[in-house]
Amino acid sequence: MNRTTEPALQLPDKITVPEPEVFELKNGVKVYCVNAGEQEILKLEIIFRAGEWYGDKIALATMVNKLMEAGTSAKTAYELSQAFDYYGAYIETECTADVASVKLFTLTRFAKETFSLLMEMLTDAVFPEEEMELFATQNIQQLRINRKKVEYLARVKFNHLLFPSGHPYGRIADEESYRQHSQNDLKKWYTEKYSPQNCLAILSGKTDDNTLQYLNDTLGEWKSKVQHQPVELNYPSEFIPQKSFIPVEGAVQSAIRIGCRIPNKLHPDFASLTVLNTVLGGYFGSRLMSNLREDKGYTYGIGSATVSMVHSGYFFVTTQVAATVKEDALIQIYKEIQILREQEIGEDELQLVKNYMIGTLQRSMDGPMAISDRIKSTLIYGLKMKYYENYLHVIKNISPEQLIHLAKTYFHTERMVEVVAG
Amino acid sequence: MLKFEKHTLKNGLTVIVNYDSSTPLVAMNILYKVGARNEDENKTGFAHLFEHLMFGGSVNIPSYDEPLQRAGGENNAFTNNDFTNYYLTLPAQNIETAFWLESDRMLSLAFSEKSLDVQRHVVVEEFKQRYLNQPYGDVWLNLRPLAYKVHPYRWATIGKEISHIEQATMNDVKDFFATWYRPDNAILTLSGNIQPETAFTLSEKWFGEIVSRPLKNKIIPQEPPQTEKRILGLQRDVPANTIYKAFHACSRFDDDFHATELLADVLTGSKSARLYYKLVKQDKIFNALSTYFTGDLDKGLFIIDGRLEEKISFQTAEKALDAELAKITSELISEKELTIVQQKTESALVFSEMNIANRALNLAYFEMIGGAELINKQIESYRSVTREKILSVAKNIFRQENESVLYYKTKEEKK
Repeated sequence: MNRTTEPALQLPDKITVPEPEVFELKNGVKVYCVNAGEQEILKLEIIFRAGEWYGDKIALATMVNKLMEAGTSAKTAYELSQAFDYYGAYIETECTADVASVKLFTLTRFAKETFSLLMEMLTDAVFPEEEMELFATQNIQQLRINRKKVEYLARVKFNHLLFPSGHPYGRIADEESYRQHSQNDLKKWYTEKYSPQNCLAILSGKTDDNTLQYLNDTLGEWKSKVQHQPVELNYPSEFIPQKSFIPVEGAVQSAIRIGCRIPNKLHPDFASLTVLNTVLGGYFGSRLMSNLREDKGYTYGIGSATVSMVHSGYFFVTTQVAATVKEDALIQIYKEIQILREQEIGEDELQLVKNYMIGTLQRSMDGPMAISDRIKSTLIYGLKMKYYENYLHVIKNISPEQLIHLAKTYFHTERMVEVVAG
Repeated sequence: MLKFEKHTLKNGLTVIVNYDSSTPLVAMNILYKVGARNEDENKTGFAHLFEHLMFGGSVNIPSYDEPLQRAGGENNAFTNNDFTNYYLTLPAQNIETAFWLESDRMLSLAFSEKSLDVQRHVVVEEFKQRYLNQPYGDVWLNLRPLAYKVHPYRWATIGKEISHIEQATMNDVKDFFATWYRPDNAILTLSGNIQPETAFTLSEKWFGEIVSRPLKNKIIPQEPPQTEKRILGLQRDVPANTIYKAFHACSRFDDDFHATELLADVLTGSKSARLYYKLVKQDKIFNALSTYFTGDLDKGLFIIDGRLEEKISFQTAEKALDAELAKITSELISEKELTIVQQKTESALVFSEMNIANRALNLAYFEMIGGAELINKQIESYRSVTREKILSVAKNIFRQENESVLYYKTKEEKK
């Protein structure tokens, strides 16, 4: 047998991008439904435009999102938690700078009971003072621990420099952040933002004949207490390229973060930039990994990413390296970025990256709950799942000439934010 | 109910396939039955270092990652105390690439000096990043040798100390490979869009000719029962005092296993779990509190890990903790508590079956511990645990002479 020759490869020309079924509940809430999978389980995610973007009070959006679990007028936090536990269901809350969401994971046979409990949280949370205090002490202790981590120090400073002047994407919480909000602040935010006019729902997993009916009987019955007012806010779109060093006594490794702003998903260049980024630091065989880890052994890992947020986007390189080699690590990172601007990517390397990315796209849509995440990450931009067909088209067709042009347009080594901690 | 088919090659390699036509992908998992517990005490961290070297090229293929990525695939691996696991997913039509790559590195590695040299540095950086340059990062490096005096679980997977990694030689690498990386010491599982017959044919084609070498099984020294409480104090630059209690518990093969797992859930499995509710929410002794059972192949540990509230002393915290442990070892838990932890476990098991990579890993794991068919008996095993069983397990675990305590103190506090 010939073990030196690679078996023949085949890559899919088309990827099936599943379109969700869309239902409108009695009260007008739209539900995007992915009914698939073998297991009798469901995920219901309800998404609100209630991230930090929509206010100027730091950490308030997160506190409301997390403390919805902390009791209703009928149930204490303990009773509410036990009620979900009783059905083996669990709740996950998530608050990004853009959106806040509540996710319910349940066995399909308990949909009726658990949907009702979820609605209780969404409509009747009371934010008890003692739960607010517990939240504060837990977050303050976690903050103190995080401040001992070079990776954390570099990350928050980097975000702050990239999104300065109170921009919601760059705010840094401090110990006071968790104690400055009153119960009324929380209730006001909750009432204004968590409303049927400000939400959409994604249901994924194996539904049965009754699932949608249960949803209509619960989420569909929700009436707003106040008229929802869409908020439009503006923050500066500029940042000042600069270098920042945070000394950390006794650190054996330094955390490095380098990057700049780029357009988000709504811009046609975002998909192409993701290809360029993958070449640089987006997969195990990337140039940064090959150079700093596999050739020099400076680090356990190095990567780069393109991040899309609803109102902006950014690109960054991140790593933790032996403190003794941080200067050369910086030189190597800038060198690799500079090469993207000066030399065309070879055909073989580009083909490998394209194939890898097509596989990654397929993996990201495997199974109903993975698909629901993809739906969410298009819906919040007002995009449809067609976005991924276009994304696939970009991956397959982008040329080395286009990529070098892109690097020259967006990646200026002298116009980056650079943070080193430790 | 997870359906699968099993076939064993002549060289001893076990192959298990879970066919699922609803996905365009296949996940492949290879588990080698070797972990940190099989290491020499003067060469610790070796199983994990070796895992890194498995990506440094094999006898006929200079790079593992490149062809896999070209086939649209992605992979990773992990090592723990008991086993080393390699896994990948790729588009189903390219599955043969996975067979080609995995069989070649089971056949033999390239044993490149450059790869060894670089991976020693990479693992040293991993050691620093995860264990030294993190608040509380060295807890397990200290807790393990406190709880275990004889068994190799006394060192962490990363190794006892950096020098063991730095001193690894090419001879050590070759010897380790010859001893452990054999078809009869491995389990190959696949989940996703591949028919079992196809998978078995490809397994014969690519793995069939790999010869099994004679087994040199070293006997792992078992830990004798602990006879008195052990205490260790450490002082570090961390923001909060933390207490770690480690109790010896049962092995994965023991009748008590499922009850021990449920016991951990009863204590801190959710915000309404008794220990969490009493000591974090009500009495505000701890800021964070968790309990878990390591569930290792040999006798594992039951851990209680509590970060103290700012003004609470170690003495107060431990007293409160011990009072709760006294309750769980003297009174039955309520029917409701039992129903909740059983229901939660069942739903977690169903959720874990959704992902093909998880399924492939779980099949391999259960095959290792006695047969893949056990995977479908789990829910039953958890359901048959009684309140009396949980009480007897708790009584057996939470004994003072069975306990090791680590007081992890902030720099400010002098005691």
